[in-house]
Amino acid sequence: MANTYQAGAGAQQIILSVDVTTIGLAATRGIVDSSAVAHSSDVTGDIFQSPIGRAADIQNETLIIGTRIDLNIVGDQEAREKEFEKIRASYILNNGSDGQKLFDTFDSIDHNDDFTIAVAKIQIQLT
Amino acid sequence: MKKIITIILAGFIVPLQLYCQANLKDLAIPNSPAFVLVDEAPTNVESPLIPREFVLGLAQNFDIESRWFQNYSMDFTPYWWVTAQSRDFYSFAGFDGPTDTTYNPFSGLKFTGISIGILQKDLIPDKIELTQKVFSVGARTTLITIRQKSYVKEIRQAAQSWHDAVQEVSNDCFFDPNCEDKVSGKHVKKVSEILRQKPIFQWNLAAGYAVYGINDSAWQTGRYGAWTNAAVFVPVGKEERYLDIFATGRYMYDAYTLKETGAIGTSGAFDVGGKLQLDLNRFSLGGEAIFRMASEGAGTQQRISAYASYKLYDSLFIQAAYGEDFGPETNVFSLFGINWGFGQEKVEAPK
Repeated sequence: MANTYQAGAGAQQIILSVDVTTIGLAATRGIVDSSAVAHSSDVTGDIFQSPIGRAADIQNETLIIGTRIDLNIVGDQEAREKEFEKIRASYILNNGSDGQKLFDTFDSIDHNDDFTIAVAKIQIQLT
Repeated sequence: MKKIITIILAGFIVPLQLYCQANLKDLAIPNSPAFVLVDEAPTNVESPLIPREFVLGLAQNFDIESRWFQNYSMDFTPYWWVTAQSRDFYSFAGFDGPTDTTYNPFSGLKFTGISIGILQKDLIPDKIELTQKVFSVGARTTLITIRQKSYVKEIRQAAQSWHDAVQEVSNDCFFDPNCEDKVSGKHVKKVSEILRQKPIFQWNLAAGYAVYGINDSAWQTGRYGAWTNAAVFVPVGKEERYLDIFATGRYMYDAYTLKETGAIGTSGAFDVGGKLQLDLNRFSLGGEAIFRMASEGAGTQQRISAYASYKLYDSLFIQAAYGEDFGPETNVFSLFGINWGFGQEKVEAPK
């Protein structure tokens, strides 16, 4: 079932938080209509209560949140594969008609051939 | 030029493995003490990713007839089993977060490795060829690591540069794991280099304990051992040049040793050694001394040697050594030749 969040049509800011768990270098970006609306500030990949836009402005848009993780620092490919399996992420949207809503995992996580780069992604329909 | 040198020296190959016998590498802290203790090569060892794989591996290896496991060996680092929310790059690198300025000297403890061997093997050197049920367990850890003062600042900056560079790439590249970004690639390379830098000081410990099931009811201590080493790396000038100082020790106990009289008895041996090595990129020069004290009143034996090593390629070294080897009488040796290291680093004590 698709992820949805009822933002409503108010003037208040919708707030996004992201919690990424990995020992790799992580960077997170949230986009609405191809424009970046939030991003992490350090290599934890976490986003702490970042406003992503007024509810009325982003209603009926799709929020895509991606975390790009570099696992080059995690030894050989076997170790990287192990760490890839350990990657976790959870997402919280707040301040909309739905109140606080947790999305406890990503929709998909992809990697390149040698597991040096992984990208975890979630898509949330804002209504 | 290197190829010519290699070809010429290939004619002078001497079994440098002899040189390697009973040197400090033998006192190396094993990654899997449980296997070393029962003379098992750490090959075909399972490394379960999750506890369920461990339990499944045990179940698959259980032999109903002998009511024991069929040579099941595994090693694992519990850190890799845990998905605690505190796991992030900063904790992995040894400090608390993006604003922390202090390296945690005990951060190596979280990578403590556990090894377990459950097998059927004849480890009692008597005339009866009968396997015993053997259970062996061991652990290895880095107790203390002290890094350069600039370590935290440098790695934090390099990591942040990676993050900022990644945030600059287009959405198409950001969301595609197959897209290579050269700028962030340069920064992650820097992060890796800093992580690989030798610390100022490191202290490692390992221990193992093995019990034998002599029959269905009697379980007795078979062997145990403890290893330790400490290393100090003093930077000499710029680049990767170090004066390395190593101290290492090992105690091994075997409850079932074949004596010269033919009887079975206990034995123990304590080895202690040190090494001083000047490490100048490809060239290293050093000396080592190892002293062995056995429980059987054989007195103290020692090995004292000096050596030089030049790295031609990553896995190919020219080495020369001169010194006195173990033995009841003076036993001088001198060696010169090529050592095909097959990926090993220069002659150095274990990390």
